Amino acid sequence: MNTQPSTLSPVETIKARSHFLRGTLAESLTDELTGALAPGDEQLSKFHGFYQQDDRDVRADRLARRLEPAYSFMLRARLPGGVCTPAQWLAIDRVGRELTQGSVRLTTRQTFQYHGVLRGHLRGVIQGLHQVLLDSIGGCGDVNRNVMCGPNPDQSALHGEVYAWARRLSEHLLPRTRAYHELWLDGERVAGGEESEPLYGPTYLPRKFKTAIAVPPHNDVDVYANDLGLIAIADPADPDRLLGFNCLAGGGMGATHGDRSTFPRLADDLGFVLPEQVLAVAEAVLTTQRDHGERGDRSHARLKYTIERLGLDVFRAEVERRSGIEFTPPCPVQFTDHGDRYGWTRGHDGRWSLTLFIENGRLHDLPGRPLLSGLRAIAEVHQGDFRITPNQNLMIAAVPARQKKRIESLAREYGLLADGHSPLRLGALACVALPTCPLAMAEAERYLPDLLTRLETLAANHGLASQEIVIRMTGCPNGCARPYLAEIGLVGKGPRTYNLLLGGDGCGTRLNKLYRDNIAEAEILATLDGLFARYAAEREARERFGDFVVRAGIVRRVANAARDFHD
Amino acid sequence: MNFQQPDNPGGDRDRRQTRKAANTLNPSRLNSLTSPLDDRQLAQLQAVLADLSPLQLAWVSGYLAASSGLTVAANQAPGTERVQEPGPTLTILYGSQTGNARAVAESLAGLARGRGIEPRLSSMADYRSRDLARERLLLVVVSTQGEGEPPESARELHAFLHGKRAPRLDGLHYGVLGLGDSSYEYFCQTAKDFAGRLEALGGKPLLDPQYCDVDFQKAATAWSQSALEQSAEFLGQREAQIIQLPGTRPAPATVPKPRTDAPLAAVLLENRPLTTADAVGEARHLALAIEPSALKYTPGDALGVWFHNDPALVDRVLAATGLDGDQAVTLDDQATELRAALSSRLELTQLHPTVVKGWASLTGSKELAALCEDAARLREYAAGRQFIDLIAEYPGRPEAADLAGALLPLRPRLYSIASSQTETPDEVHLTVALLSYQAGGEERLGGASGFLIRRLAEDDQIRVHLAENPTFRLPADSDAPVIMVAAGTGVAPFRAFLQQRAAQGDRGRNWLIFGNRHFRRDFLYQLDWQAHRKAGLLSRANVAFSRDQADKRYVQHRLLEQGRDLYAWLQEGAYLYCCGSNAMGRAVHEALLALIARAAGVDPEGAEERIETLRREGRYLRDLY
Repeated sequence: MNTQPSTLSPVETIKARSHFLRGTLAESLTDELTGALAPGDEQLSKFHGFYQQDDRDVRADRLARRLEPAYSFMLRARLPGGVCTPAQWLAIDRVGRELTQGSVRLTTRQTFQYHGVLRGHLRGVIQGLHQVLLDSIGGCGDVNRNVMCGPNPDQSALHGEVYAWARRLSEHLLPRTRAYHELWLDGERVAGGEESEPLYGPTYLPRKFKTAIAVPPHNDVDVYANDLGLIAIADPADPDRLLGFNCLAGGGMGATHGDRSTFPRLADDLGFVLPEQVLAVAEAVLTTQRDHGERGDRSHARLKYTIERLGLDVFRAEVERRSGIEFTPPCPVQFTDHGDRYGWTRGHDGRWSLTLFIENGRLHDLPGRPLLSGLRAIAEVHQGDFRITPNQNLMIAAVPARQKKRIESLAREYGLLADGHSPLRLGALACVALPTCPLAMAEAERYLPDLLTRLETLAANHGLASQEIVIRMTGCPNGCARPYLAEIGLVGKGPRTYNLLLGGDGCGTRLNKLYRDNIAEAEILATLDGLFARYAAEREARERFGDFVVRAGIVRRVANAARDFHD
Repeated sequence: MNFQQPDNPGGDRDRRQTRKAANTLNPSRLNSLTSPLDDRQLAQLQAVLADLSPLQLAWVSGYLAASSGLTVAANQAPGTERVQEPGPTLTILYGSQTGNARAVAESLAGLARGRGIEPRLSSMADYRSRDLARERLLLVVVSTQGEGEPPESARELHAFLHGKRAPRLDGLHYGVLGLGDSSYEYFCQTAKDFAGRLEALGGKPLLDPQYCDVDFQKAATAWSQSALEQSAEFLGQREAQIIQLPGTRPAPATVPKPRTDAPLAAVLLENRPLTTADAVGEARHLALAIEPSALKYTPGDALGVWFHNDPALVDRVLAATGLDGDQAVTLDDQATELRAALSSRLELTQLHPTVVKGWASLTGSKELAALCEDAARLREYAAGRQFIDLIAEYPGRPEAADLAGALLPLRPRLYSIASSQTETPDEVHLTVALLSYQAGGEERLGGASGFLIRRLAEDDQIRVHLAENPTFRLPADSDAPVIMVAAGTGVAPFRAFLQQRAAQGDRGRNWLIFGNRHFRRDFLYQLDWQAHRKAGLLSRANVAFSRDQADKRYVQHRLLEQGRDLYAWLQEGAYLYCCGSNAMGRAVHEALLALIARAAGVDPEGAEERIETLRREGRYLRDLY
């Protein structure tokens, strides 16, 4: 069942020769003629949490000036479950203001990232985070990424328990190389003894590996979009007690335009395990993928293709063999939504959480709305924690009742309580895309707010102003904003053009399907105008837009992604 | 040519000066260390000389001088050959940065030949300092750098004269002609230094030194005439020897004109920005098409650019003075329209103190006259303004001829050439920084840089001339390592150097140390350096961007950090080049002293000696402006 690709992808060679992720990074940092890393090192840097990017808006102009591209780095931290303390937030904020573009971006995977970090500031950023016990190990790269965990403020005890497992998973699946510490922190080489990566081996995984834990009934983490998904099962008799997890494997969003052998895929059920079995199972899923994943063609290297190739039963049996754990049948679960619930919620423990809407996760000081300053002011008085949500929003969690007023007035003062947004806007997601993301083919974060304004008008015209419709946009088909799970997905195809996909179910358990290929704004609006009209006229009671388009046959239901997504 | 004091290749480049204490002269006494005599001989000599009057001393010195040739020859060791001194000759030494002093010295030599005197003409750089003791008749033409420093070629001789080993020059008759710019505090300082030392060491002035300002032609010609008259008179006493001189050339009919009077045509091919829109200053890469047979240049050379003043500026001057641009004025005995004169013949952008003075007397403004009384204030006033600012502040209605007479002639500006002709045979590349500053609440542009960058269109023709820079050349040895230190547009010649070394297949290593303000905004020719490194030509590169961090970092800081390696390179025979502002040149020099002292374990004096050795070996070369 082992597959040996005829030719290894170049990244595999770089990893193999990197001496556990060191490469020539140390030398790269001292090259004064460039702000970039040496070619191989830019691959390795991802494992340390940062991507080399350049401002694509100015690339051609700089070339004409005999200047290299405006290189900078996007550095993504590891923050299991998106939870950090106020003290940590103050450090995150300070590093962002002093050593990066002056902003902090909340990601769709519950962590934060900095943009525009100059090469000379990488050490400062990493050391600044290290001072508050944060790191960026595996922020990107072919390893387990940030482990997500639904914030669930109302189930405070259960969240605490699930969050602890998210942390343990993150630690358990962490690379063991000392390279990160050597290069960015103490600078010391470990004396003597060859290093090893008992879990990953010298070439790590064939591709990125994403893990998330959902706490029903909310599917805000989009658990089915992960390589390894875990659904927390609470004791029906005691909703605060964790019984175990339903394990899922083989989800993933990424696809390649024009390549029908690539597709987004929902994770399959493996079965139920007890909490104390979850680390062994996670390790077995990861090592099975390590040993059987495709290492020649990176566009087919995610676990979803491995499972398609091996077959689910073979894969499950291999995981059971490696972990020594037998799955029991999964517990039934019901999801109701995959968005965030804004405003105040009261937890079982009597403490409160305030979820703030942060458009596209972008925190900076805007004129009249100094968002970063506002969060800093809150962090200085807040005694609970902060939780970054899977929808790029921020929760000020575990607020004692007596502090509620204070927090709220600060949030209001700094423009963090932006009331009056439409349900379309509140439920929307966009990835970063242009100008920094090297993969972007079209705008997303910079464009979606404007498009939403037009869609709001459109919805209002059809009496749909108060209707929730999940709209997600990405600049490329790789799917960072999980567009294939949206009721309306817009995936960048070229400058100003998008593929329009329809048919998500509003709780992240059904893929949408391509409806129109490569269309620009006018056609997007005209198409949706017609569909909104039909939806307004023909919908059933409480029927969501995504369900309607499937029921009405506007798009076919995607049941099996490999078979149905492209047909 | 640009006749401002720094003799500057940058022309429009920032010419602000920083103050610096004047050199203090080392008192030189006659002792056994500074003379070939031992203590006993010295005591006897001093006993004899003590009683003599100046006139007697002069006679004795002449007597001794006349017999010295024979004496030395008689003492010459067998087997060594020594040319019999034909008697006193005229030596003309020049210290020139970009060729002005050299041109004057050449013209002086031509005039001498016209009088039947065959002079020995030499750049100070090629002159053996020890020979000075044997000179009897010496004319010195020397320019001054911005802060009163000697030009590169004059540095060694200048230092020698001020040093402990300076000989007595009692038999010497000399004349000094200085070229400078009175808008600088240390006006003609180098010429003054020479005159002062030659006299202090016992030399006799043939005539008073002449310190010429920017428009030096007349004064220099007058001084040359009288210097040669005095020389002829001095030599006349030994006429027989002069007449017998071999190789006397026919006298030139006229004084050779400086080459700048014969400019060549060039066409603008490309005007490419090198800095980003948010950079602190704007720098451009200009490519000019030239006729390669007419213009042959070598890396290190500069190009003189003849420019036109901004037509809008000309209009404003006409409006402010109420003059009609069509009326005729006479310039150099030729009638020309005032507008044309203001456009291409008269200086409007570099306001000179003499122009302020001229305007003061034209307008009769008491306030302005008072300002002109205070040299320091006058310099400061002129430095931050253009002519239009002066006439706006002190309005006047002069006659056209008076206006033309008050203004200085427009001189071309010099820019270091940024290309190698081996690489681009029919092109010259320049790296031009736009001089731009605020005055009177408006933007003022440099004359030449504004012309080149803002007003010149592609395919437009301009006039240029070559300004050779023989003291700034790549090593002849293709294996020699080269260290290049530059700030800002000072990097231009190094682009030419690397192109040349690449074209020649030189195997010597190359190390660039470059500084500017922001890595992202003004890393001039960044992609060129990257390509050279990738090709293996550029072995090493260090940069300093002063405003990328809280504490300002400059090239000199990088030099110090790299001190150990840099010293090792020098020990391995590296040539060190430095191009940029005078202030940067001084800072780099200080850094070199410090790093050499540290790496070699010597005291500051020892470090200075090592640098002097490098300089003497032609391995420490500077092009500062």
